[in-house]
Amino acid sequence: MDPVLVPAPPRSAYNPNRRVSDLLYNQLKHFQHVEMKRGDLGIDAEAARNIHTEGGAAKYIAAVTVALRGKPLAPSASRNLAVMAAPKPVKEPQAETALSIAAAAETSSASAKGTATKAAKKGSGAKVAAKPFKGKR
Amino acid sequence: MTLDRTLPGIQNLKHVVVLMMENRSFDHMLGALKATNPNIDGLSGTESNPDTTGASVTVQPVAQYQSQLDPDPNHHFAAVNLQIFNSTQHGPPLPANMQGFVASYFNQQQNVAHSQEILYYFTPDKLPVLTTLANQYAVFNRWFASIPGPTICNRAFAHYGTSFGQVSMDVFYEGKDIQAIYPRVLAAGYSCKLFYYDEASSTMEVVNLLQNQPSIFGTFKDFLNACTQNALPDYCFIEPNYTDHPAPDRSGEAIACDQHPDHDVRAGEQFIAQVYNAIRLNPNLWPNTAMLLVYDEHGGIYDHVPPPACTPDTPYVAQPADTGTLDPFAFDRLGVRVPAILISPWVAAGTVINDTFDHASIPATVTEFLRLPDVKRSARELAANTFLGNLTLPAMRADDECPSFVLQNANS
Repeated sequence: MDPVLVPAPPRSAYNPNRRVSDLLYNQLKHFQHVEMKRGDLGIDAEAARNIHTEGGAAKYIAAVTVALRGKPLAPSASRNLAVMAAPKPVKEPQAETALSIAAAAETSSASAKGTATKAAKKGSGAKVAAKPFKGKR
Repeated sequence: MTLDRTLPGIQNLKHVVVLMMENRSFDHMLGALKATNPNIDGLSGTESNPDTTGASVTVQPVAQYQSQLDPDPNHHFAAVNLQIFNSTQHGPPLPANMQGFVASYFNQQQNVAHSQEILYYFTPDKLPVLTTLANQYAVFNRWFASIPGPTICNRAFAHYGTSFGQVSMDVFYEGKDIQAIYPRVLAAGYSCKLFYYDEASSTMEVVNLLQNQPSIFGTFKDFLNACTQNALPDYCFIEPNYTDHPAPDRSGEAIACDQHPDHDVRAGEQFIAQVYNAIRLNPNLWPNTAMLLVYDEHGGIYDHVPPPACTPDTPYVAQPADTGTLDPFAFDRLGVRVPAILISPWVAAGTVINDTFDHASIPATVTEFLRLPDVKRSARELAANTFLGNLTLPAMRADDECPSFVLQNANS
C-alpha cells in the first residue's frame, strides 16, 4: 500500500493574533483559578493581563503550566479557595425571544446562573470570548 | 460485552492510546463515506434543515479547511437543545429531529446565507488521513458526545467517566469521590500519561490533575520520544495543540492542530498522521497498541442521527439555571454524534461498529482491559460499552495491508 500524502496548511493559516475562542477563554479561567489557589507562582504580570489573542493566551498558559509542573501541590494544601469573579458578558442587541436562550448560553455558564427565564431575557451575549481576558492580579 | 481475552489481538495488546480532537460532527467529517460504504451511517445528500426564512436547505459537500465556521458555532447546552429538538426551551418528549442547526447558527450573526454553512461536509479527498483510517480500520457509527454541551464537561467524561453534574465549561471538580482514570491506573501498578501538545497549549484538564498530579503529564514531544524508545505507557491520552503560538522552545511556529473552528483542518490531519505514524512505523509498538481517534463534541455542526437515551448519571441532575432551558437534565441522553475510529492491525479493514458508545467508554475500556480494582465509578461509566472486543482478527494484518502517511510541507 502506497503511503498517503498529507497536505500541510498554508503558512497564512497561522495566526497567533486570532482572538481567543470561548474554549480558550474558559481554559484561561481555569488556569487563573489555579494560579489564585496556589498563590505566587511567579507569573509575569504582563503575561496575565489583558489577554486578547491566542498568542497572548499561550504565553500565560505556558507560564502557569511550567510553574505547576515544577511545583507540585503539597498534599495538605486543601484550603478553601477564592473563586474567581465571573466575567461580565458583553451586552449585544437582543435577539428574537424564541431563540435567545441559545444565544445567551454562548456566554460562559457563569452568565447563565439565573433562571432560564432570565437567560431568555438576556438576549445574546455571544461575544464574551471577543473581549480581552483580564487577569486578576 | 465482556472482553474476550482469548482473542489474539487482546493477548498481544500492551498499550491503549486515545487521541481526542475538537468540535467536529460525524457527518461533517465522515458523512460522505456512505457513498462508497453503505454500512457507514453517513449522508445521502438529501438531509436538510429549514433556514430562518422557512426554506429547506440541504447538506452540501463543500466544507472548507478554514474560514467557513467563523464565528465558532454555539454548542452550549441550550444551543445544542435547539439543534437537536428545534426548541430552545424543552427536550424530550419533543422528537430529536435534528432540524435546528441552521436556526442555531443564524442566531450568532443573523445572516441567512452564512447560517447554511453549518450543513456543509467534507469530501473524502479533502481529509486523506481521517477517511483512510476510517476505511482501513474500524469506524464507529454510533459514538456520541457524552453530553449535549461544550468541551470541558465532555472531556471530563473521558477522564472521569462523569462531569459531576456539570453541563458547562466550569468544571471545578475538586474533592470529588470519583477518581480520574489516571490515578486508578497508577494505583494498580500500571503506567499512564496525559500528553498535551506543549506547555503553551497545555491541557483542558487543568483544575484537578495538572495542579495535583503534574507527574502524569507530558508533551507531544515526550510521546514521540516514548514511541521511539519503546517506552510507551500502558495508557496514553493525547491532547492536540489548541492555539497558534510561537513554540516555547523557540523552534518556530506551533499551529493549532485541534481542528476546533476556525483552526485549519489540515493541521489536525497532519497531527493525527504523526500520532498514527509514531505507532504504526515502530514494529515493536504496532502489534501491541490500539489507538482510538475520537472528537470531544460536534461543535454545533450538523449531524443527522438523533442522540439516544442512556443510563442516567445518578445522582447528578443539572438544573434549568445551568442548562439554559426550562428543563433539568439528568444526564440520561447523549450528545451529538462525533467521528471515532479504532485503529489496530488486529482490526479488519472496512469494519463498521454499530453499538453505542460515548466518552465514558474510554475509562470503562481501560478499566476492563487492565482489570483495575473495583473502585467507585460513575453510573455512566459502569453502563458504558467497551471497545477493545473489536480487535477480532485471528492474525495480524500484513505490513503492506496497513496504510502509512507522508507529511507534506507548507508551500505558501
